[in-house]
Amino acid sequence: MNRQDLLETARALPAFSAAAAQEYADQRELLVASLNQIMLQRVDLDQLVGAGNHAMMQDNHHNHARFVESLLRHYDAEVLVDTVLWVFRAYRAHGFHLSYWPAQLNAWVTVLERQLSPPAFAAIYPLYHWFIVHIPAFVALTDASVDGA
Amino acid sequence: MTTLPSMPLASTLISARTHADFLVALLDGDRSRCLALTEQVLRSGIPVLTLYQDLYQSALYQIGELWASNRISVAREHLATALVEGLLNQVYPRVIAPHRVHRRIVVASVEGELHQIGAKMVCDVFEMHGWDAFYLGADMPTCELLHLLREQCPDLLGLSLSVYLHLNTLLHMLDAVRAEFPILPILIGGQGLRQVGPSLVLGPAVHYVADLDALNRFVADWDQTAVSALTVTTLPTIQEAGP
Repeated sequence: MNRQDLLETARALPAFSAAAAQEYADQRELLVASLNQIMLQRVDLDQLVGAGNHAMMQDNHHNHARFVESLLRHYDAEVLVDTVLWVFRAYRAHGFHLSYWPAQLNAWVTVLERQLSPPAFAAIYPLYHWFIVHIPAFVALTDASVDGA
Repeated sequence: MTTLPSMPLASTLISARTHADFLVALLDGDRSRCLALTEQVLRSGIPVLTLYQDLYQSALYQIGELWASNRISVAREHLATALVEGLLNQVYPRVIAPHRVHRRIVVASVEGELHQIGAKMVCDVFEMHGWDAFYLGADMPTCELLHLLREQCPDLLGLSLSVYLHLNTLLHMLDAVRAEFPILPILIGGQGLRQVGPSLVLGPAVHYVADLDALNRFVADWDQTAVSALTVTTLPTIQEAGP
């Protein structure tokens, strides 16, 4: 799967309702706090993000939430794909392990399901499903730059 | 001495050697060398706008990529950014136009946005055209921006977004400004709007500029339009004064 294929899948995502976007925005800080709590409790955290990278991980969670909040309100498939690829490149280059991505994204789904209303979760879940199922593509598309770094 | 990264160079007016030397000087934190290279570029007749865009901006984008690929630290990235900001201050006396057009712009980075060099360059472009530019820097709280707009009554507001993830904040700021200042023209730009900027131009009083060249044309067009409008409005007075 190349960038163009990813773009096609991103363009096929359903539209996000304004109500769901607003609920995500209203809950953003609480969502991030809950996610950090889950991730920081993991005994394998150093293996996931690399020793000394805990603060960078929390920055990523904060940035992720602001990014998704913006995306839900003003969706753009190219922004989604290019940003995710940049994030994978940058964080892998800084020592984040491949297993961090499914761990983080599954934790996001847990937190969203727990803290959002069922309609808001149903509206936003397809985006997180898209993140999760395309992890192998993100990894493959960023392998060369990380190996060459 | 920092190892020079191999990256594409943008400018045809500024030599590859100058690009490379400047990048190394930035990475080494060599302020004197950066200033000497700046002087060298300006003495060769290259316009300030080209210096900003093809040397400073290009080098900072390269520095950002070096951080992303973990080849330099955050501290070194901040060092380079601070150096460029200092250079902008030193170039400023050559920027300001002697003739003033008595128009004001207020420029700020969006609330939460920590990057401010782009906004500072935007101010300088307006100063080149004789405007009075009020530069508010990074992370401007919306309520404080509204307060300043009430005080200064500018002709134009500029909002800079360097990172897309602050887009929702920009949209909120636009809503807040529009609610209180319904006809104030607003200029938006920055790297964070590269892909979505044009789609945010939702009304006649919101303008998007993609880069400094586009901004320079925008200001020139604005000045031209303002002169034309002035001519039109003064014509009746001339006619009324006639026989």
